[in-house]
Amino acid sequence: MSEEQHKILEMVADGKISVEEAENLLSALAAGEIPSAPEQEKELRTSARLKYLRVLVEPAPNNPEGDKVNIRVPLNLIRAGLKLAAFIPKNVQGRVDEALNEHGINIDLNKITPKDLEELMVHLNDLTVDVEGKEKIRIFCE
Amino acid sequence: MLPLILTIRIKRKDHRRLKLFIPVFLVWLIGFALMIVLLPLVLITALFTWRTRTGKSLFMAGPMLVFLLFNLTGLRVEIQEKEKEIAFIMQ
Repeated sequence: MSEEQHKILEMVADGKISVEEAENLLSALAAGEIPSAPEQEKELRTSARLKYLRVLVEPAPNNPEGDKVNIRVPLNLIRAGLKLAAFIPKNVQGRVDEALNEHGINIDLNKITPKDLEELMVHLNDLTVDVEGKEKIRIFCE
Repeated sequence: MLPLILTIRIKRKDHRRLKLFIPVFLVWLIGFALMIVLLPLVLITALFTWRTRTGKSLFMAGPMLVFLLFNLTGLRVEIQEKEKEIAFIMQ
């Protein structure tokens, strides 16, 4: 029996969760939907090793006159920005959300937690976006 | 570490180059002096508005801002256009 399964059974014994909830958790664990403790540790170690978010914009081969952009942002700066965003007053945050929505970005900054960010960094191996065949945008962490 | 120098590098296609070193540490020095001067005022305001969320936000925003500035080191933006290349490097 794994450590996670043992914890779920303990939670049932303590009355913290129902048998039905425990069944759901155990089946999710078996299906690999919930990462096990060593996997979570591995993910955390990987995210701690990553230092920069890189954004590379390169023109497509059929667009040789396009501009090239190379941006390197320290991940700690993003982490700090996220923490600072939590202290933005609600009325200002509403206006920020409105401005983001106007540009087609439907993200609620309040709902992004540091844990979400760490997971995103680990799973953002190499994302390539092709913009109408004119340029390619590569986003990755290193 | 707090970034000390902002380097701006401009390279044109006709091989003319420009490299500027901007001492951003002077901005931090002025900023920190200003922070110290304003600190009593901020603390009093935070104390009076502590019951609303504004006081806590005001109190925590300072250290968070310093944390943000400390992590600016390593920020690098390079733009390569048809005629010129521009780079901004925080170091």
